[in-house]
Amino acid sequence: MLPFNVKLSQIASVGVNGLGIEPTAKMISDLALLYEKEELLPTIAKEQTPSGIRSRIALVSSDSQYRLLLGVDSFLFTLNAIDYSGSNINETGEFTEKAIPVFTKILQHFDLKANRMGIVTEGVISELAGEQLEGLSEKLFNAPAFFKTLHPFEWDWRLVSLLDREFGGKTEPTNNIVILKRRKIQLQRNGETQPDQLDSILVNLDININPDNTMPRFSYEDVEKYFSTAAKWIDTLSNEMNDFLFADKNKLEQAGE
Amino acid sequence: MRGLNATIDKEVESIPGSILRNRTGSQNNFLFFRENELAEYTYRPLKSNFTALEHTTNTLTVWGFPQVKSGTTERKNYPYALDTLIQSSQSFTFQVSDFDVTNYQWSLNRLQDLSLVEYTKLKDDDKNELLKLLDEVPIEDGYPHPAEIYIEHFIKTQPSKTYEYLTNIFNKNLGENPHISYAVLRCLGRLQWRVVKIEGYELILKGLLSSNTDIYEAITRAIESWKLKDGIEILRFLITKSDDYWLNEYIKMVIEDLRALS
Repeated sequence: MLPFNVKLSQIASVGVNGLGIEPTAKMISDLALLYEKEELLPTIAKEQTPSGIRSRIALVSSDSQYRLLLGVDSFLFTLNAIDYSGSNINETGEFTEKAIPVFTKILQHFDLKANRMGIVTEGVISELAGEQLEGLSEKLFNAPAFFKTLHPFEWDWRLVSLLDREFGGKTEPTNNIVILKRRKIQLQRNGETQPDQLDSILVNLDININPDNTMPRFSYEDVEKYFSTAAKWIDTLSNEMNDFLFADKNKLEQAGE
Repeated sequence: MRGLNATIDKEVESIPGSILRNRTGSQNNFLFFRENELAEYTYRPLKSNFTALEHTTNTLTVWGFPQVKSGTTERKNYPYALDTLIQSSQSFTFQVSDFDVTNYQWSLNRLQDLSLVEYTKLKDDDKNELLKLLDEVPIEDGYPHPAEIYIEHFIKTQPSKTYEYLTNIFNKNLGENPHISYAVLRCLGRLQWRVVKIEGYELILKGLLSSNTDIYEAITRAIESWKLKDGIEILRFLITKSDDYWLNEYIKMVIEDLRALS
């Protein structure tokens, strides 16, 4: 797995037609009761859509780490870091186990079918030495001489591949996306007055069903099967990226042991 | 500095032209003085801890001197003095001898056009003042709470920041100072639905995670006050959470009342 020093978030999404789920007193009441056991409470959220900013409903845990946004085109369930390192974010499978009943409830309640699903993991790798960071850019880019001489301190790397994946007896084309960005970021430790400046790699791993087919076709059982399996896909992708990026470093560490 | 400032220490002073309604005929909370019709007032909380309303073009000067505790001389800055000023067009004579902020009443028919008034932003001083009122001034049935007017004004001028702040107060105090969280819900519940809107409802439902029956009562009162039929299922749910017989009876009564609404 990629050696995140800061786990930022895990996101599960289902594409639906959620246009009718608007913030009314009735809707707020219903959703408060629907998610009473999960201790998610309704709140009014703003969503940026192609037609402008719209008022939507989000359900948020009292510590704000979990959030379910009921957007116009998708429902997004997010686990956000609540401290400096994201210590509340654990295995992907643990997160999807939490996400499955959340989605099941809402899809059943509104009798909706999904047209796509997606899962995302975001984190930061911040404890790399200067030469390791430069080694990464050499590995990822075949840069012109200028940038080989003057090592870039900022870069973006994004790959997307299409792969048919199977879940619950269904086969769907999925986009498999890895985004790496080298950035200087600021992180504020709890209790510290000055933020830390970290020369870091921002990582985004994303596996989602290709959006070309917009037909609502996934029942809540399909959604459950997708997320039960997708956690392993993300972990496998993370392992592969780790082997690719840090094979030399990992070998050295193993030899040292 | 019209007469009020000079007469504050007198045991009894009659002031014609003042506008405060006297609830019981006993002591009042505020002193006002008016010479002209209301127009283009500017409200300014002053550093010296009292409220001043100054007419920008004419000669009106109004001073409010609410006291936190009976018999003390502490003077505080209460913007609802303005509200009280505006709501009435009648003249009263009232006595000045003792003031108690829990013991005053204003009409609910307040100024419709608050744009006449330039209110301050929700700054730290205002937040501290609001929190202090919520903490120190008990909620009394039948009588307005001084925090209500703060909350109403701030909701009208900067709703998202106000709700964010109130939510923080509510969450932060629910465990150790539930009376403050209770006061937040009660004050919100007393405002009109057209003021609090869906965001206010959303805030009071944060009490659903509590196991405090006072909080359930505050939720119930808000739904009742707003005549919110869409809250009936929430009330039914509260009955399943509450083991307080009298509260549950009260909730059932509210449900019946709401169901009877056309």
